[in-house]
Amino acid sequence: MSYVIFGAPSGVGRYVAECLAAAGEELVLVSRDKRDATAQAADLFYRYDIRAKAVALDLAEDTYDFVELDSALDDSQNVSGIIVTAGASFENDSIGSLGAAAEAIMRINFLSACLCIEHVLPRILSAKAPVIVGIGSIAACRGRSRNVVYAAAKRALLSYFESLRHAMEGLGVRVQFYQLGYIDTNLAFGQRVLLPIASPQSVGRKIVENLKRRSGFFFYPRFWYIVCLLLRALPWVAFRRLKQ
Amino acid sequence: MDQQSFALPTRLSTFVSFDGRVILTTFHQRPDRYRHLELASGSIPRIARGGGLSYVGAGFGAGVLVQEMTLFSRILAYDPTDRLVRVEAGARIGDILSWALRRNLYLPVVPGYPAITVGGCIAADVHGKNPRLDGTFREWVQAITLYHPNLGFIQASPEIHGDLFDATCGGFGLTGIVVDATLKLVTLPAGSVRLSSIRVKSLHHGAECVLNSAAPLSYTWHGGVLNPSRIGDGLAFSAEWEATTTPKVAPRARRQLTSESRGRLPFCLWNRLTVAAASSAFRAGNSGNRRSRTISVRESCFPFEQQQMYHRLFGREGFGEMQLLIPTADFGRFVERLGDIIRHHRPTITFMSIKAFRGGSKALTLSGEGLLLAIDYVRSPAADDFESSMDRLILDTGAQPNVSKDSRISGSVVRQSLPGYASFVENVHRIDPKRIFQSELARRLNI
Repeated sequence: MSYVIFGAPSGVGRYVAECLAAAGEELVLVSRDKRDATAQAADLFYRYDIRAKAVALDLAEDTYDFVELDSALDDSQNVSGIIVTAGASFENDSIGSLGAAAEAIMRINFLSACLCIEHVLPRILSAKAPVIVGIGSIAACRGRSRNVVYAAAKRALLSYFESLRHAMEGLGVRVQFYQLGYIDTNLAFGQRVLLPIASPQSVGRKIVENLKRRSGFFFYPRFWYIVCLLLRALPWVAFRRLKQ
Repeated sequence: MDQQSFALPTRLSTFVSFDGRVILTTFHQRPDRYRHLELASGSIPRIARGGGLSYVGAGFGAGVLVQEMTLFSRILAYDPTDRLVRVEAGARIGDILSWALRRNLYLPVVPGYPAITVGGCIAADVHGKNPRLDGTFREWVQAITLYHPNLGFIQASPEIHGDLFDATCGGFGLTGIVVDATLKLVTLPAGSVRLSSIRVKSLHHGAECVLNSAAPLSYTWHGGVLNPSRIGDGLAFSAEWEATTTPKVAPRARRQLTSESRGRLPFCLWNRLTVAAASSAFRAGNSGNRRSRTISVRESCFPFEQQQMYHRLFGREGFGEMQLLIPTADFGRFVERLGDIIRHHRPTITFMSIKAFRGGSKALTLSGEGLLLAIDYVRSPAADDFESSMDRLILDTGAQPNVSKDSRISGSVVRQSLPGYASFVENVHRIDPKRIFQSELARRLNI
């Protein structure tokens, strides 16, 4: 079996790829910069003796060239999983200061993810136990004055995955979506946070452990489920004071 | 300049040197993609940081952007025919050794802690357990890839861009960011190591032992000095490869010691009595049945991995370490003067060690042949006077200080004692005229 990972060389994607490689799975690693994906493919080959292919695809662009991806997928054994870990945020993501970066953030976190899944989906339908995994964020729990576009994109992605799960029901394709809390990647680096930060290694392990399980929407770390429930239930008079 | 001025997420972090002497807060980034290295840092100088185990503030500096390279830790290529492995600079040397051991290969030169990165080994041109036999780390580096904003990504080796290679190996990151390195491996001679020790009564006796040894591992340990008339009482260790039917497996690695975790204890527990007791215990632990024992290859490479308590007991105040390369012919005179200095200032010395050394650094690290004497001591007012006297001794005897071990030695002493200092400074200013790469060490040494 093989898996295609969008956003493989960094953050959570890196450790998902490592866990899959340790399990002996073949991988197609998609990254904006081919240098990163090539380095990762070499590393996984030398450490775990698995086949991994590097593909360059910039999810921030408004047009996609899938030729290289298709070629890599044609060479791969039956593709059985699509894992989209790509994500990005930017510093001035707040009301009144949204610029050109907002469009890129929307593309990377939502639109490109959907289009990449749509593109690869026909290839996995005939696989033995196909699975599609997406990564959301607890930022999408309730809109606040910071991470405006990022949160909106992740909430749109959540909605897309709900639709995807509904559409795939009966086709044997499992759909899993993770809403991640603070993870020790560059997305959270330098941010002052009130709750514990989880390691990307632990997220990678969790995602790979769950690959054989049923469809579902998960929070990781799990206490974020409670936090998000409370945040959503918080009366406006209290919520408006949460600026951090 | 504030954190929001950088293109990559940046935070303010407090860094501490492993010996606990240098502590400061500055900008900190953690690049994980090649394009992150290419992002401009504006007018602010920068420096690459590896495992953060530098004794001397080589990986940070006041107002310097620290770029932590630990996420660049991948194996990029491996040539089994020539036994060459190309790895990113943030790879931990212990991980690379473990990977090599599984293929019956071995890295002859590794530093004492497995969490030190390949980039750190290159930057400090570290030595192993018998530097006279194996030389220093640079001898096992075939090529490097360096990133400098003015030069881009550039390959350097002794044959191509040799001056850049020379200035980078032992250059403490001042020529640019080491991105990856091609390392030469050797076939593992055997699966285990037979470690033996003999009692030595003096530093002279210890020096004789290491000079007469051709073992792959050869060094001495001399216990703390309680009675100045017995300076040098200790053990000489040597090891031979041992072919065992089942290779000895290293004990489960403990949680890696960091510069921060080393100093958690709020006070120092080393004093004359505890040093004497620990020295006696160590001596007893290496006598009788344990005078000769079989250990794993990893244990022989990283003796401090299982003995973290030694450094932790210095506490937050930290410790001092000097490592000096002394010409063999002058060793007797040096030791005589050292004895006088110890008797006069009575510093609390926790241990001393001797190795025979050979190195060919053309940068800021040791070069030439001789005996390498390391001295660990408790920081105190008496130690301050001891350090000043040692600086004079260095200049009087032609000894070379290892700047990667001594976080207080001045630029003036280093300029007068390290043969490569002047040419290194000239090279750095030619390679990096705007001095984009800076650190606390560079500033202290007037580079």
